[in-house]
Amino acid sequence: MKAPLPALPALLALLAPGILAQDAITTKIAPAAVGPITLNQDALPPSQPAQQQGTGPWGTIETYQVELFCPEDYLNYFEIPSSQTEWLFPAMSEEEFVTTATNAGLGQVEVRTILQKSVVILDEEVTRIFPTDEVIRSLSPAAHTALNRILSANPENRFQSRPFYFDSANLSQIFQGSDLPRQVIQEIAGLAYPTPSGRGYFLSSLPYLLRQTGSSTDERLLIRGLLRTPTLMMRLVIEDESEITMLQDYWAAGFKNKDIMPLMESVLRTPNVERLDVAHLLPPTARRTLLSHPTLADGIDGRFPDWFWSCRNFFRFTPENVYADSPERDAIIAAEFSPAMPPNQFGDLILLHSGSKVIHGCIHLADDIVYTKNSPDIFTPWVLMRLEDVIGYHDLKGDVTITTLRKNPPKR
Amino acid sequence: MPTIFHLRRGLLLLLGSMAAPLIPFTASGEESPYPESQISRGPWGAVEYYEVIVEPPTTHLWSTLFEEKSEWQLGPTTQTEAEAAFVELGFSSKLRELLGTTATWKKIPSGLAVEFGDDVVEVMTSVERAALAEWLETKNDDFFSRILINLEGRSTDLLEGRVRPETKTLVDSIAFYRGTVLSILDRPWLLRQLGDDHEEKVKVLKALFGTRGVIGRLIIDDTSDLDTLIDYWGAGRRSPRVGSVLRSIKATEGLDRVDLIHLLPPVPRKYSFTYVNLRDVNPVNSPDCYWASLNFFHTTASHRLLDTLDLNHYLAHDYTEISEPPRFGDMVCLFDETSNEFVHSYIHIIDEIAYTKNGASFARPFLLNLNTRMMSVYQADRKFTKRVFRINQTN
Repeated sequence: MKAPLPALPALLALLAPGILAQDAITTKIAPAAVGPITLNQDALPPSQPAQQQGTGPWGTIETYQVELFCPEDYLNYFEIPSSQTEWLFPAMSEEEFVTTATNAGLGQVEVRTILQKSVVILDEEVTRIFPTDEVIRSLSPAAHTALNRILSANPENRFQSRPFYFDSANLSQIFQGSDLPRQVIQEIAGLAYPTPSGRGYFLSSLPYLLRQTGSSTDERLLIRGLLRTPTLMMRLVIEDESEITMLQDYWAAGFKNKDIMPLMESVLRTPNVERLDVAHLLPPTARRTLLSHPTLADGIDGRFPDWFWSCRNFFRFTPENVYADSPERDAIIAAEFSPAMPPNQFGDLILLHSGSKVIHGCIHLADDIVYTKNSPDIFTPWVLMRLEDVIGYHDLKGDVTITTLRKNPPKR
Repeated sequence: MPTIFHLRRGLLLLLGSMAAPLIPFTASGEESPYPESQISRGPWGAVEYYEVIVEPPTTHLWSTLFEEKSEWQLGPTTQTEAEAAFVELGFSSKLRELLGTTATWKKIPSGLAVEFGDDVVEVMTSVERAALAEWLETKNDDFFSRILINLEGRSTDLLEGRVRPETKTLVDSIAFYRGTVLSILDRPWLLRQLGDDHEEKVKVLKALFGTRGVIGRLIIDDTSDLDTLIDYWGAGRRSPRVGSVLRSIKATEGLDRVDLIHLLPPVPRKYSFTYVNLRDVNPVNSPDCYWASLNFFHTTASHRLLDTLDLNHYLAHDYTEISEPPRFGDMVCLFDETSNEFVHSYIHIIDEIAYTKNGASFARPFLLNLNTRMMSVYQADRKFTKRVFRINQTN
């Protein structure tokens, strides 16, 4: 696991008053080095092995990088946008646009290209820019990052406020098995841009990509490929009998995860068992949701589960429908969680902050792997990801900090 | 923790044992409690599986278990009738004398009970215990179900290494065969012999309630026919999620196995290898085999299924009886061939593997199990009518 950065004392009380206890630790995320998007000459096999291992108080875990397909039926619900790329800015003059864009980091040449080779519609409420393909292709990855950081502030910029996320520069591996033509993957490689945090890549140019499709079948293939979600399959490696007590202590999480103890004890004392899927070690509600997309039943009360629903109910046998924007959210956190000192423990709640807002939360499992529901929409499954990827996914401004809270022990 | 060994719809609640052909034997010829993995091939693909033995958590050993007295609740009868029955059951004169002199006979709400000490237990033979068990089952089935423990594997092997050798010897001394099933009736006596050693009492109770389960993995390799696998594990189109999981595994280089837990619908995925949670219990009922079977394809467990409903309330309307071999998700119901009484239900997974919860006991888990293990609660000579039901696509 990447060691948490040195504790920055109680800054978080300033960042999110009312949520974060005064003793909690806020960790600033250091920007990662960004490499170029790569595309193998031969799309298969991947250049990196899918399997990785990590060892610690959780034992040894083995992980496989998997791209989880969205259920086929769900693709019908994806609203396919117009293939005309449109950027929405607040109403502003041309001069104001130039200032805004250059301040954000775009070069003067790029700003001039945008203005000269796009259709711009100004009205009292909004500035609409319809860039040509030439404009889109001419922008450097850094320019895409800078431009989309501005655009992400407006939810009407649908694919900037929630871009597609790739956790690796190796697009050949990411799109392995997706049936996407190599030419399309090449287009994606040219349009993906580094996230502001420097971890992973975003893609906002679905409208542009749609113009490259020749039929509804091609469109569906494209959407199907882009809606795959990076996740990890995770197994506990069981080799050393001397570790049994340590493993039980870690995964039982101080009796909070007591339901898994019978199986855990059984597997640990069964000869010849070398690996156990970590799904067996999750509490029942988390196990029920893992690698699942929300179904109609999950939204029966009018809302689909979001990150807070998922984190708050992680240890609960019967979920309660409380959401990230529920008025009681902060009171629940204050009552049920306490600030946690490193190292992280199984079931810890990790909050992501941007400015004064809590923008996401996920649950620490082991090593640097978390259980997360990245968006309440039906296309976003409950998955296991590396924390740095969760940050990369959510950090639209490059300013995310994290704090860790620990679920209070059960009352007995 | 309530002392629930609830009897519903004529279910047998406790586990026993009969033949388990897939289990290898040790060099000494004894059945090994820890078999090597097996592979099963069929329309479900290739599934690699092995058995584990799960024991109930300490929290599920209800406190009164440790305070029970040795007694038989005989139902609505008189002492004279009971003593006459003991003669017919073949009780020795010594045993009958002790029951007449040192035991305490008392009236209880359900009829007559006799409470006795260690002397009675210690003179009883296995034959007498077997005769008593058969008689008690007819006189007071609810009580009988609560005091009886059937041991998996037709032996006390599950205690090996789990309790002290002398404790195992104590269990051996009171274990007896009911037909093909190895059982014990004298749990209170056993715990008394352990004195104040609470830790050993907990260990022996957990071991006695030990249940075998199956952990399996579907093998996905270049030879796997993905569409066939998705059709099988998705039960047609009932579990569309399965398609997304299997396609993703297939597309991942170096990953060639997926645990069956990922291929189960939401409710069994949540409940597998867990014990009854109090949130699923009401004053009338607790989850049993029928509850587990009918909830199999639900997205959340329905508490309506705790109600005392007619067997056909859902079965006759939401399911269609089929005559073809069962596939994933089919509900298999067993009826007594003679009385036509409903006895047990489970969900067919593959081949010889079922999803089940044996009875309503808090000490028995939801799990994947081998049919042979699951059926070991029943006397080998008992005849069943097996009926297979498939949930309608519209439900």
